[in-house]
Amino acid sequence: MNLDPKKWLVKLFATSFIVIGLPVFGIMGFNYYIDPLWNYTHANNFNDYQLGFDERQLKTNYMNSHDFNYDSLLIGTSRITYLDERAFKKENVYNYSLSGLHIKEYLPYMQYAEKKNGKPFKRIFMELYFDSANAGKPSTLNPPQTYIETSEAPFYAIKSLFSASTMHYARFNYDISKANHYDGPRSYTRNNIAQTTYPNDDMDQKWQEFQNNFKAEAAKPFMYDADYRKRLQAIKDAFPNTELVVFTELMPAKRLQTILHNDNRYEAYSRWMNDMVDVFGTVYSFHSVNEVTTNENNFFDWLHYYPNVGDLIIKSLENREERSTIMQAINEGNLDEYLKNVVVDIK
Amino acid sequence: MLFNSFEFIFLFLPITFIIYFLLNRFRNQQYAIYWLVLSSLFFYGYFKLTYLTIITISIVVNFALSRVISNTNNRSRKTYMIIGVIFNILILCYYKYTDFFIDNINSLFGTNFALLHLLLPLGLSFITFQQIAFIVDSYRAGTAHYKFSHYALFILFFPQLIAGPIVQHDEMLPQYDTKENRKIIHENIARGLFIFAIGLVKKIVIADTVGIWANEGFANYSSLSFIEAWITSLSYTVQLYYDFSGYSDMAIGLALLFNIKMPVNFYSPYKARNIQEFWKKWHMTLNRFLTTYVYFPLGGSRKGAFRTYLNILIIFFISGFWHGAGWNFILWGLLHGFASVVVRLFSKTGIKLPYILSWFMTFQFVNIAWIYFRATSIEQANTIIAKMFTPNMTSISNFFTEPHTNFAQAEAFNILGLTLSDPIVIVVGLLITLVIAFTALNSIQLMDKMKFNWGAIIYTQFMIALVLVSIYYMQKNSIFLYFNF
Repeated sequence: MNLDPKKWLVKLFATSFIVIGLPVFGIMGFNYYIDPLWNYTHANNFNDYQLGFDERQLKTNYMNSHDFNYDSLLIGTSRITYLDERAFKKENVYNYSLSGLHIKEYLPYMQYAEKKNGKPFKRIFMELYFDSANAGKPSTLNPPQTYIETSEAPFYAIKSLFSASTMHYARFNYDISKANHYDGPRSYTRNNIAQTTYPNDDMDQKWQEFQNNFKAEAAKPFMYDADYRKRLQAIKDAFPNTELVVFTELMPAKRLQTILHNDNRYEAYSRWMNDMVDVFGTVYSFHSVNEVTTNENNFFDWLHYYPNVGDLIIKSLENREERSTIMQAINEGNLDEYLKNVVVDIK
Repeated sequence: MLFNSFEFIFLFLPITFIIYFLLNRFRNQQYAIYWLVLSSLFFYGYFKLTYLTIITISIVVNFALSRVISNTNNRSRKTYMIIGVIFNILILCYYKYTDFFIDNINSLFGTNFALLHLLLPLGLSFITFQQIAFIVDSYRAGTAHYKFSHYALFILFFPQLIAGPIVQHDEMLPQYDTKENRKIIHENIARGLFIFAIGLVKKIVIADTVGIWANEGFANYSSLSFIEAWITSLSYTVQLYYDFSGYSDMAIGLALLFNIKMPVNFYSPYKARNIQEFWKKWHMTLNRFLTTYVYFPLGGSRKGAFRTYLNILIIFFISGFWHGAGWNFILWGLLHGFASVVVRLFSKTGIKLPYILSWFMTFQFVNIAWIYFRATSIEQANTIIAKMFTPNMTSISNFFTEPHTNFAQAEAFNILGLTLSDPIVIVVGLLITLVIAFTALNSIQLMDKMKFNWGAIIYTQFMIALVLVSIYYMQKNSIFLYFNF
């Protein structure tokens, strides 16, 4: 039986609302409630553990969804994600650290953060790591612009709610939040703070893995990035009104010394330190053998430390004029001596 | 903004629709026309604001010239008409073909002129043809009775602005003033939504999915096996049809919401039995334009066999070059031109091929010619075609039994446990979409036959559900293929 077109339309809309609209709103509502993409600001007991499955996207989204107004910026690799930005006592800092941050990515992300901040940062605390000068390790990720454009796309926050991928992470976050436990390397709070209870009970096995990998890697020469110095200079030039506090990664002493005992790596390391000091004047090095770097309990693998070490790093960075047992200020005056002393024989 | 985008469906369209009919009801039709012009400009400017300058200048100049032509009674009419045609062609050439010419001059003469990398405003190729037709008709029949606002809407009307259909003033402008069109006509809305939903399914569910295989195949063309080369070509053949005809369906449906009837642009082209028939079913409004404004003025078929064949080749050359600034497009156009000539010659023999054979030959010709259309170089197209005609039975069994790398990225797409890199999914997916194209009623037929019953409600909801499931699982950022032409 044919209906009047008007009645047909009414029936179409009414039934569609029930059979299509309600399930769609249900999915979107749940994804909104958990918000695994950090596009909203609400917090509840079912989203207080957030998986940082794509920090580039999440932290960029966070900047767009929150009132972004900070004194300073902290940027670096996955190690730095464990630094609790609230531990900075003298200034308000946003931690924009991203796993595997490539040297080419630093500048665009820093510039974007400054743009979102609407004013130059007082300081940018910037971790640089030795392998960032290794041209043999190119970036395989999407360029920063991709993440920025995604985050800024009109209605992204709404559109991304209707997605199987968003639902997947929402369900995951729901489960770990409900359990108040995540057994992976790190999860985040709703406020960009990394948290972990990851065990370090297989450090020996991981050491074997590192040694095997390093042996294979060290068989090839370190391909020092010919443009590295230029890249550093570009970063410095881009922030004329900001103090750049450049510091090296902190790693277990055993790992550091294994790397530096390789002549080819040591040569590249010397060049790297020279380039950094030349460009920035002072570099804060966490490369030393001390009570923190020799205590394996501070680490859950041979790259990453626990957040308590992060607090020590922040304390040292904030009090740069004070003497620190884990950090040294390296400049032109003491660079040669530093390079002479950085290699130490340890068990 | 794209027709399948959130902002279009949930914001732009409802707002435009409601205000249009409110103005029609409480003001007059003229205000409603202004509103549609304004909203179409917004729609266009949303892609890129700078496009607005070019299109506005182009519309103003063309309308002014049409007025001059209509108001002139001496020989100058023809001169103004030629100036108008050249003006439009120059704009298109500048934005679309400058780099092509520079590149060829550099290759021919060993020069090193820098490429300009100009951004081609979306839809300019379509807009150019529409404006040329208007200028020529101003010369032939006079168009002085049209208002500027109506002319602007004729060019800018958002359903057809970006990728056609290429409409004619005498079929569109009278509709803007029709009194009956001022009111909401529920039947038009119902039919419009129905065909719009079909268009969405074609675009989002089919074209964008199949396009993943086409893109991967063309990207990895040098390492394709025999069967993978066929999958690549068929994927693109399927993608292009569903993409472009889906867009046309959406355009027709959207226009219908405003009580505007647009010409049909696709009518089951892959059911065609020869190339002439194919071009009567594929991008029909382009064919109509080229026939009316190029083929007939050149003499059509009235000046002997040789001139007829030459004219056919000329219109297909123009068609190819219009589609893209590259030798591969020209070659594609000429291939269709030669095929059309062959069909004409063959028809003189009086031999009638069996239905299946003629259909199969036509489809395979179209399928192979599309490879030139999609390829980034003639070498790429030749490589794929060579692989398609180097049968290798081992490659077929390997395709189903061994992990393959040429469609590896499709693995990222998983719908209800079915991965798009699964050979069975690829083959069955292509078969289903091809069989639909070969045998099913097309969207125009479905719309015309639509009855206002529960069946149509369920059918429409099924279409919407398919689209939503696809969006939910794929989360794709897609772009219509024809936007670049």
